[in-house]
Amino acid sequence: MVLNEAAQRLGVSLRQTEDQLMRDMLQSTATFVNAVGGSDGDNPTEISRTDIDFVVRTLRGNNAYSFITGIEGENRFGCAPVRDAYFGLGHTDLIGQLDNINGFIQKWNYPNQQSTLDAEWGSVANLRFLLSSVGSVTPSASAMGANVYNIFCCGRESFAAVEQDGYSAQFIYRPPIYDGPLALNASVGYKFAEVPRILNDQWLLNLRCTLA
Amino acid sequence: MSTPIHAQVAGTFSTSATLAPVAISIPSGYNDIELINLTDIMAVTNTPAAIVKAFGNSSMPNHSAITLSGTGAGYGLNTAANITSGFSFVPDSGNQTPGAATAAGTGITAATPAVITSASTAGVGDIMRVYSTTGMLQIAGWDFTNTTAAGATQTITNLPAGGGVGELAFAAPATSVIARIIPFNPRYYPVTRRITNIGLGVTTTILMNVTHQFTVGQLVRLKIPAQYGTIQLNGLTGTITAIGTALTGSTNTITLNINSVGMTAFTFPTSAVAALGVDVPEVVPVGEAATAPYANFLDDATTNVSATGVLIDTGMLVASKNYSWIARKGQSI
Repeated sequence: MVLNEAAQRLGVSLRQTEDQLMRDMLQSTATFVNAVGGSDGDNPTEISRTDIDFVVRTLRGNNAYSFITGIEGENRFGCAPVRDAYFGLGHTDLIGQLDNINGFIQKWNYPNQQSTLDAEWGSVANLRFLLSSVGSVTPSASAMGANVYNIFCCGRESFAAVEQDGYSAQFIYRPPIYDGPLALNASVGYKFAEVPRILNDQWLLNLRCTLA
Repeated sequence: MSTPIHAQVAGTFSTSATLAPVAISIPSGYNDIELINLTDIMAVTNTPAAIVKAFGNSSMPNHSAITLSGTGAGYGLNTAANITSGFSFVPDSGNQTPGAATAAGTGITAATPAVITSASTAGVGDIMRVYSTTGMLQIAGWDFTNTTAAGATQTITNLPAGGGVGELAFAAPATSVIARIIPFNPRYYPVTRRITNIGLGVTTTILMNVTHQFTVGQLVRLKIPAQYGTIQLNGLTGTITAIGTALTGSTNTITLNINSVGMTAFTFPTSAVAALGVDVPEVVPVGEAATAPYANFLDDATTNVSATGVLIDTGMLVASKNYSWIARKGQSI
């Protein structure tokens, strides 16, 4: 039972570590654009509809494939159809900022919940936002010294994690006998080797913004 | 609690004629380090006194050590505690958290090179993030490499803000600035860098804000927003044919095989325009040429360059010497 629980926790840790490495690679290497359509007086500004339109226009102009198909409208109160979309991967601190954008559709306003994702917060135009507590933040990087939030707006197959043969994630358990003569402590851990990599730089944009 | 399988790791290195800090990459968990100057440890004419042995512990402040040194014919070892130059245990060299914010400096000159006056402790090669640059908001939020020793001023050789030929001719200096040290490069190489000047011609020379680390043969894409003049280059890719061509007083450049003759000169937007929000010009690494005469070295490979380990300051080292080191960790009981 204890081992099962440890395995579950380590599984979360493993996947979050993979996310953090991917995040750091995208933050280092991707093309970035500053949000300039907001009104908070900083540079970059808070995210706005014009910034999202610019990103979607750029990705579509570069023939980036969208990740998922749209969600067809249904005859229900308070819902709206959702377009086929790219993903915007961001930090949970953006909650509230996104809600204020012109045209924002909350996830629960989608016509049906079949194709929504756990991390999804909502959509604007052709961009669906997935938020995480380990999303990317560049500290003190705005003109006024505020934290800058990086939203990785990506098309399908714009980046990938390359796994080495025979070295994908391994869960390792060593019983207490390996600890010492008295066999007091077991050890549990994981290891993996993979390389995050941008496959097509024109299908990915880092939209940088501050909080209003 | 568990018994470490490798309680001790060791290695050697040699210092070059021009001293630079030495980074030793070791796994996490090691909390003691010992450094031995192999060249001088038994020398009886060790003049001036060189540190021949040093000890550090992860619980000591960064840049500190306990040292042994000796000199002269009556050679004897002297013990000293050194708190300004020594060992720094680094848990993660991918850490991008800026150093402490100092009081606002008095500004940045609109000269070539631009010079910051602030209380920053940045030394040669340190990356500084500058913001609140009143009057020079074109560069607010940018990172720059400092090219002078720690002192009252920091020089940005990569920013030719003066009004000479080919320079940026900023209209006014900054009257305030906060400069914070970024302790390390980003975790992954290669890194997207910002453009601070462009030399036009049969080939195109690009100057960047931070020491770039690109190599000949790599392929990069240029992003030039509308406010920066040379918009004809926006979106073009070019192969790096040379590194370090001097441009407006700096050699932090790459030369691309793009003919930019007749294009609009590179410029920065005014501070007033920047205050309203502007994008930035960039060099984006996208791959490598892998065609003659550039071999397929895979220099563009996405590489995690972060590590755990120990940094050794130059004050602990002597040029052109051989050193060995031993790092230890033990079982806590």
